[in-house]
Amino acid sequence: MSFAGLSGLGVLAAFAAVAGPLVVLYLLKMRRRRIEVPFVKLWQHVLSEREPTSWLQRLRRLLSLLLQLALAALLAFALGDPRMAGRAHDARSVVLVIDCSASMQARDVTPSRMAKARAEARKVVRGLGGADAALILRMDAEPVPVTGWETDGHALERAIESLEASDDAADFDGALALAGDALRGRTGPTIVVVSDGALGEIRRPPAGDVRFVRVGASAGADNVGVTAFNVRRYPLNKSSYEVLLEIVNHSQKPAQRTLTLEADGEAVDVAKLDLAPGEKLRRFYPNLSGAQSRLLARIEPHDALVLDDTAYALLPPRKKQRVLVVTDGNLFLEGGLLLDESAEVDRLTPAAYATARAQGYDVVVFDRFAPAEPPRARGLLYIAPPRAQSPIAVRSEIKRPFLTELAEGHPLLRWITLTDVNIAESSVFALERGDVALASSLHQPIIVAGQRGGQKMLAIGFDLRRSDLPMRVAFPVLLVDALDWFAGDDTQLASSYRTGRPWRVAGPPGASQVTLIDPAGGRALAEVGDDGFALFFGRHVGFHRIAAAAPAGPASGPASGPAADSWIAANLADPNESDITPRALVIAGRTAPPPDLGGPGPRRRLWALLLVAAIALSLFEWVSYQRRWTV
Amino acid sequence: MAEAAPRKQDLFDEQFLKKLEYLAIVSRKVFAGRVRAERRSRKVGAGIEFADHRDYAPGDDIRYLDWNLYGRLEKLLLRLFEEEEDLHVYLLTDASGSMRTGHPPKLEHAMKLAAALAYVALSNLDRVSIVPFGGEEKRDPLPPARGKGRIFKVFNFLRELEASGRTHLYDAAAELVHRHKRRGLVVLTSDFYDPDGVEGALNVLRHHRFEPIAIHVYDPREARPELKGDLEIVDCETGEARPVTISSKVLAAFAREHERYLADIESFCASRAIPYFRAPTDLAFDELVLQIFRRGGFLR
Repeated sequence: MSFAGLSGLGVLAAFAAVAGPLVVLYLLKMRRRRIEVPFVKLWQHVLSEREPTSWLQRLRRLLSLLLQLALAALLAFALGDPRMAGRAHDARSVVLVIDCSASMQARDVTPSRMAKARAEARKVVRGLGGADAALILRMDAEPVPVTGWETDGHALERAIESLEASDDAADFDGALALAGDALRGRTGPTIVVVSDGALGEIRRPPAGDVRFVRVGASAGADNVGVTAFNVRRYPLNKSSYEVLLEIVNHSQKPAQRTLTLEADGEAVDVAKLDLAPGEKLRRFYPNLSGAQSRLLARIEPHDALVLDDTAYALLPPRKKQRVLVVTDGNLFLEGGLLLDESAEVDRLTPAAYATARAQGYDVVVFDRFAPAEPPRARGLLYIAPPRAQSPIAVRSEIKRPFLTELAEGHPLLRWITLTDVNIAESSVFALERGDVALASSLHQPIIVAGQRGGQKMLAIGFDLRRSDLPMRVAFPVLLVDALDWFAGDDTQLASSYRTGRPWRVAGPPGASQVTLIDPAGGRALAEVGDDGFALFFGRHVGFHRIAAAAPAGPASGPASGPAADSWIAANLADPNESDITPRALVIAGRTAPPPDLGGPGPRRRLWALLLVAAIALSLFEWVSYQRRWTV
Repeated sequence: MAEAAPRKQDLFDEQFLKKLEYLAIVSRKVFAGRVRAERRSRKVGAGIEFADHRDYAPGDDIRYLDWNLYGRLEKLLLRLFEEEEDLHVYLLTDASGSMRTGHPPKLEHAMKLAAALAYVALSNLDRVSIVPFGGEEKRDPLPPARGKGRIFKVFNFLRELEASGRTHLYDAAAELVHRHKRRGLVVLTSDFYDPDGVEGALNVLRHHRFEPIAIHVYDPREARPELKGDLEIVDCETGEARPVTISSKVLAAFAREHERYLADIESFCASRAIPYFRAPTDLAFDELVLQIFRRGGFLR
């Protein structure tokens, strides 16, 4: 035994300091309080019958003194903070991995799996030995330790109490890697996983002994959840949209549910679903129309896991664009632009063009013409710009080029192919930093996209009339893609995000920083990159607001107003997490055993026990005094 | 004691006087039709109302021989007459040190009782004398007074009383019988905390043909004092000290002893046909006075 507080001598000194005066006080006769009574004779009669023998009286007083001395000894010992010396080589280092993923919100056990997990984790902590140290690791999509190596059971239990289930999936591999790092070089490495077990099989065993505490009831763990919910506008008819829903019955028995699809709070469709055990049902809603933007899919009645019974999606807003075409006349071009119903097209001849005339337009298209100074529009489309005024330097001219290299992943080339396009003649552009060659002929860029002074720009090096491109389906699609690209309207953008993943979120125009405000009001700040997107690590399901945190200097274009807030939606959308059936933890083909509670030496510090004993003794002394045993 | 003075002034206030008047009226109703205000003694004397016969003894006044009975029975019998006289009421009031204990102090309760009895007696044209006792020094009594108008003299006398000294019941009774030759009613109001006992005092009164009435004043809380732990109890009269350790059992035993003490005195009085009344301080004095009236003996 060792003392962590006062030394052994200190404990003796403290005891002596209290016991000495106690003994002196007991040796001295106690001065009694004098009370005046009207007639002592009456008392004499009473007391003569109850006069105790002197030796009994002395014994009682001695008992009282002994009680007081024992009390002083206990307190002095407690001040010394005695510790039982545990055997160092038996000490364990325990990483307690507590699953805080979305499935731990399931209420198949009372009150919830998370509460049960906390209770089980507390049991593990209370079962640790006196020499054991533990570290609490929260496991969700981003595993983090919530304590350091700790021997104080109270600190560990406080950390456990602070844990709540998240809305995202568990990253078990990440948690094991973190636990392995924490256990490196420590004695008795042990990993205790408290989880409902939907963690997948671990083929490569981690360092240390892995134990598993399973949480959740096998019966009643039925769950039907929405595992996918997406919506998108049609590229050429943005007033209509389509919705894709995926619903999975994870239980072992048939399930009946009512699916309600809502748009801005109004029911779009209500359907009764009969789902076979394990059935994955996909529903597709084509050609939906309306001005709604917020979509919600709800399954009722709710089951053990409520989180995935509701899914959220946002329909991208439609953006009208004013387009000015500066041309001497190009039916192909004007006809192609008319296909996009979101575009309002005006025409101007190059002779009538002046920079002031382009004011208020979102996009300006220059056909075989380029002004000396580009107008302040969001997007500029140059078709066969004259070599002298071209915004992108023209390197050379090329006869009958073949498009041999295409930037196929670029949003401007989405849904189109430019192979075998016949072109009579084209300019070859010299790329600047940030420019992208969308189409090249033997590495000579002839269609280029880029940015100049914060304006998006697309340059086509050839005259449309001298190619067969306008005769192809690709041409109007290219124009629609270009207008969408200028407007920042990406039909490929996710209508909903998945929790527990990085979210690439378009920032409001002109914002250098954006704030993500989650449904609970929590805020996260992120920088907007050069590409206009900010990255967040999303954790909550529901609709999130994106607010501009600070403007990025002067407005980049005449059409750009103050940065408006936008919204995004997020869902769990994880079939593994929705499958809440409790499972065993299998590591390299072996089922992980339950933890071995009870390590060497008592866990609790002795001073607390001594204090409890002192209080008990004090209570006994009080009772003995009241009952007149010791006086 | 500084607080006691103003309270004593308030003892006999307007309210108190109203109660006394009420008691005086009630006393007349209780005894209406029996006698008038005066009281008759049973001694043979110069009275005019026949009371009884007794055998003739030499030396008796032969004027009172009943010759008619002699004619019929041939036996000399003497006619006895009740002698009319004023009733002397002696209020023998304990003012010893123990009477200042209690809530309110027992002396205050005794003073109210004495004042009430005095008022009723004065209203009945009796002679009232207040004889306080307590302590080693003799205390001057209130000389016999008669008539309702003297009640304020009684009040003033009572207000001057201070509780002090030891209780000597026997000495007080003996002093009374020796100083007052006119026999009468002796109302002994005391807590009877006399180490020598109460029997001697009552006997000496009886032996001298006084008619004692015992009123036992006590505070009910004296029987159950709120004491606990190691104490040294000191007698407020004798100064005698004694170490005690008081527990709930001791308190219970004391309560029983207190009750036994009261019962012993009551039993003694009953055996000697002495009217005995308990006067706890929480019992209103007027109720007690009415009890005394109903029991009889105070007024006839």
